[in-house]
Amino acid sequence: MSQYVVEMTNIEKQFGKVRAVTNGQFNLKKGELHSLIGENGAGKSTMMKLLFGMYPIDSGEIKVNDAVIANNSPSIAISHGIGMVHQEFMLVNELTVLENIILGFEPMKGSRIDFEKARSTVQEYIDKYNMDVQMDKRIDQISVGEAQRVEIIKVLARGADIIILDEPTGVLTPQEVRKLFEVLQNLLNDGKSIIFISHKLNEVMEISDRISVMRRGEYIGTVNKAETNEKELANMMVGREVFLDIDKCATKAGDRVLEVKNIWTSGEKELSKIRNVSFDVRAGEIVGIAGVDGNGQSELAEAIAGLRKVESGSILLDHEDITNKSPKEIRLKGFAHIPEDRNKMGVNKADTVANNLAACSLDETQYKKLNFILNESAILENAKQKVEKFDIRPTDPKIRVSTMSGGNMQKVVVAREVSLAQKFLLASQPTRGIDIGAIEAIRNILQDAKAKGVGVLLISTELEEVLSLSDRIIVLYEGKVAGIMNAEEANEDNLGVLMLGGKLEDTAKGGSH
Amino acid sequence: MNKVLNFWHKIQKIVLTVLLALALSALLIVVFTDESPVVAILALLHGSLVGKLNLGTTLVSFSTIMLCGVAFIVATKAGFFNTGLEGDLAVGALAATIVGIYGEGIPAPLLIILCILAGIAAGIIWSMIPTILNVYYQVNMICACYMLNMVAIYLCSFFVLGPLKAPIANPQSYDVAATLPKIMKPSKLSIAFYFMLIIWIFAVWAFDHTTFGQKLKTVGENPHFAKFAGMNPARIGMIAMAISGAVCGFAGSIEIVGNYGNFQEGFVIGLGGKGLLAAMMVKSNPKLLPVSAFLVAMLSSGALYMQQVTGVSKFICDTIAGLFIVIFTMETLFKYDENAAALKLKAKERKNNV
Repeated sequence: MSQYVVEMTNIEKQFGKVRAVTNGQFNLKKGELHSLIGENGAGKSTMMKLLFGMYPIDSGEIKVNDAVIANNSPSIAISHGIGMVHQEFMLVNELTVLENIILGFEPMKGSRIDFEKARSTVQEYIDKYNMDVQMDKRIDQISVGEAQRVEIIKVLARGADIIILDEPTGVLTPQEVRKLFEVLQNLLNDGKSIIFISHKLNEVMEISDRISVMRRGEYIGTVNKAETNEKELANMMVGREVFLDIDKCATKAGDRVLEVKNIWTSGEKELSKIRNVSFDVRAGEIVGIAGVDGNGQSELAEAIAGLRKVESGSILLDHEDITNKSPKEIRLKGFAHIPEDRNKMGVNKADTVANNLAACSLDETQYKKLNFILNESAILENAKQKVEKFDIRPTDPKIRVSTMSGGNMQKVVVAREVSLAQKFLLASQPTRGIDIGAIEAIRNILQDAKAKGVGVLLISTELEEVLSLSDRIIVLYEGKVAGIMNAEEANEDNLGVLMLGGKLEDTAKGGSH
Repeated sequence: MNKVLNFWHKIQKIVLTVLLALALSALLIVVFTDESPVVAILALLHGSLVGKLNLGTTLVSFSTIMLCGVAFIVATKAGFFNTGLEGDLAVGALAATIVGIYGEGIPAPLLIILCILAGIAAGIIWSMIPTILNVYYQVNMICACYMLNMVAIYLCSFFVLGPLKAPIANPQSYDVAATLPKIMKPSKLSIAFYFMLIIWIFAVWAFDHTTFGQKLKTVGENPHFAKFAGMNPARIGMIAMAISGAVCGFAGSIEIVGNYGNFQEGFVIGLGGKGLLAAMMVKSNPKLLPVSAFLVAMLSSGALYMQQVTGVSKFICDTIAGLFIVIFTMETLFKYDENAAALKLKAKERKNNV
């Protein structure tokens, strides 16, 4: 018997013309936590979906507990003790936690579901691994972190000894991540083996025993946690040296470029999503807005950009009132905006890179002939310059944006907006869901904008990003400013407390009530 | 290279679709009539293509369908589903008729221009009613357009059977005082055919090469992005609908001053639908529009002839037309499957290697 519970060798998988995995290698020892890391599109999720039988492999071999698995399918994988917690939770919102867990293999008493037996089984898991789950709440009433624990129990209840977690921390706050890691540790102590897919190096370094790296569908190597560091991992992931910890360039904050004064605005479903928010941004500084997703960041960004009605209060750009002006009027004043949802707002995917890069300036004379004909050569020339300057790939400006990777799509957005940012740049989740190489590039671009004297408002749910780029940090909680602090005072802990609605004094006193 | 290949695949798809539709039609004819399907279908082709009268009649119908198709595509590119083509066309024709009758005495070329301008203006006004209702009051565009078609058609009936009625047995208006020169006698085809070609070519060019075309496509493809980028989707959409109405109004006016010379009661019924159909068959690709427009025109002008020379009733012919359209709109039928082709190629390579 080999020392491995899972062995995947020489795996190949192709989707149509796209080679998702070539030369995929992975193995897992009993009782270890083995992380699989790589940039977006590196093939790590695909590898694990192959292990879980969601797609057939083209060639290669999968062994679980020394048995070769042919014609894999999820039901076969489950019967071999493999369980997978997907990135998007697969839970029925309208059912309770308990009902979700037993869904599909309910214990029966005659023709009826034996809820008592189910309850006691689930309670065992909760106690054993210290999971903190409320069985009778409906899924739409519980937090994301709790829903994730429900997913884990679901997997355990189906008899899994090998648990695959696909990017589990992407949706969690720092405090919830901590809780998840405790649960994972309990699972490991109980002899379960865990595969942890991630692209967050600090987390991987914290909990893994071994780490495997994939790049562009290929296996790069496996290292022991004890013998590596974040820098080496980043190099392995990207294939070259990466500098994510940018040295903050010196700040020469000038005049106020953006002033937000007591604004109120509504969300799609809720009234008063932004409640009496005030702050300002000076020329040549980056102000970061931290907060758990959904605490009013989107609404605030849209209100500033003229895409959402401001109900009261005012917004000044370069001392001119831009409250409820049209996006065009606001843009003409030197405003540019990297939107949080690039698919919906950042690009027109059906159009070419060149046209997307020119889309905000079609009315400018440089892109027009005879005032109504497109100056296609100018548009193409502009695109060629930007493609080169911002290292957008593929380099053909005539291809459709829909064929690009997320990171390059985002570079198109950033290239266009940064060039337009004369005075102020609103960057909403500028690095969400993109690979580490692109993250590095985009962070540097934001720094450059700051150095040129543009005022930057950075809205991000990645605490690490806000911390590493901002001069001042504002925490948004339930549509209100929960705190403003200078970058020097801020750290993950005190920001995390504010993000969850706590007060800083509480922690100082040890959280007394 | 890829573009050429793509275009070729589209043509290939159309040909295969036509063949399948013909086969099914033949089956229908065999089952429901005593005629030989070959004779019937030959009659259909003869009736729509052979001889100046037949071909000319098909081309008259083709012109109108092309214009309606272009009008539909302009609106579609901006994200509007303009089902009001027929109404716009009807009021355009009516306006041209009124000007043409009461403008007697004005020099012919000037009168024709006035008729056409009146038609365009009427088309714009009519198309703006549902657009404004939709943009400012969120009234459903499709319903509003459709209802206004009814209003327009009955409005035309009122005028043509009332104040404008010519004192003869047929339900038609007085003749207009000036008409465009004919180019394929004895059919009704006039030089308006060339106007149509110019409009179509301009439209094909403008979609890709003008600032407005670019904005129009952006608004239609991603209105959120358009707004974000500083465009005004509502305004651009309204302009697109106005253009759509103008083209339909123009189509209506040339039916009067170009083809018929007077307003024949009920002639507009079905025309808008055919234009919409032709546009939808080619998924609003203006470059392919002539193919589908010609097919629709052929089916409608050949049907009458088929009924006359064979025992196949026009209703069977309409059924066949319907069949054609259903088959045409089946998206995945005969779709060139790149993945499957790539896999086949790979399997072949493997075999050769072994």
